[in-house]
Amino acid sequence: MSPLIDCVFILLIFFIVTTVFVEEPGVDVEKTRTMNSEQLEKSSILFAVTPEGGVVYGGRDVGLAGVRPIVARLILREQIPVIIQVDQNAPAGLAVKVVDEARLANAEEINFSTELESQ
Amino acid sequence: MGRFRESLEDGDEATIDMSPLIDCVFILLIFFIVTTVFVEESGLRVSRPEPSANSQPTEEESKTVVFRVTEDGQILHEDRNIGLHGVGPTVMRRIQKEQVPVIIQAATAARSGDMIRVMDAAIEAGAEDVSVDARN
Repeated sequence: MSPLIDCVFILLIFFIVTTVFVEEPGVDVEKTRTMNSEQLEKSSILFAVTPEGGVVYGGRDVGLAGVRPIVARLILREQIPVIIQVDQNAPAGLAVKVVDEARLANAEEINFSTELESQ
Repeated sequence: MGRFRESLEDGDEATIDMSPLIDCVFILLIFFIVTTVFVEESGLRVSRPEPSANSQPTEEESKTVVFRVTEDGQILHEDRNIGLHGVGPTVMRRIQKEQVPVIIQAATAARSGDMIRVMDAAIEAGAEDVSVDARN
């Protein structure tokens, strides 16, 4: 019995340590494939920009106006990066506006999510 | 005293019932398994142009490299359509002597994919300061 309990404890500790509570946008975006792409922080604020012009956070379309309050609230205690999952067919103007809104909320690090091109 | 010794010899050890603990740990384990999301994001860092560079980018040709991305996916540099393949060599030529900021001006209705690919090509060519901007 005790090896089982040991094993379960180790699993438990693993999951406790690796869990980050991130609100995922929950929409599928077609990411741009790029040659450069750095690994981004796991604990970040994730927005998705859809081709239809929606800005999605945590499964809801919050619109452009919703970005600033969300970012401002989440970075109140500590700076965390903002990641924008931009669909490659989304209007560039909207993506830049989302960056602007996040910047206005005092986010220091803003990233566009991309997919690393396999070579 | 005599009785105590006797019971030890019989092997009747006092044991703690572990099952509630195990139940509890299992419930915690299941909770963490269910809530764990493995966020694996990779991407490019974006910055916005400094206000000074933003005001008159075309007149500061010597200090910045400006690429325009149009609605139909053309990539213009100094009013010539250079295409995605022209971005890398252009950036490399301009940063040979010193690092200059690269600004990507995308049309509001341009596809984000085109804008991000230009960013990528500029970074690939060695540009350190790449920023994006949108205008009509």
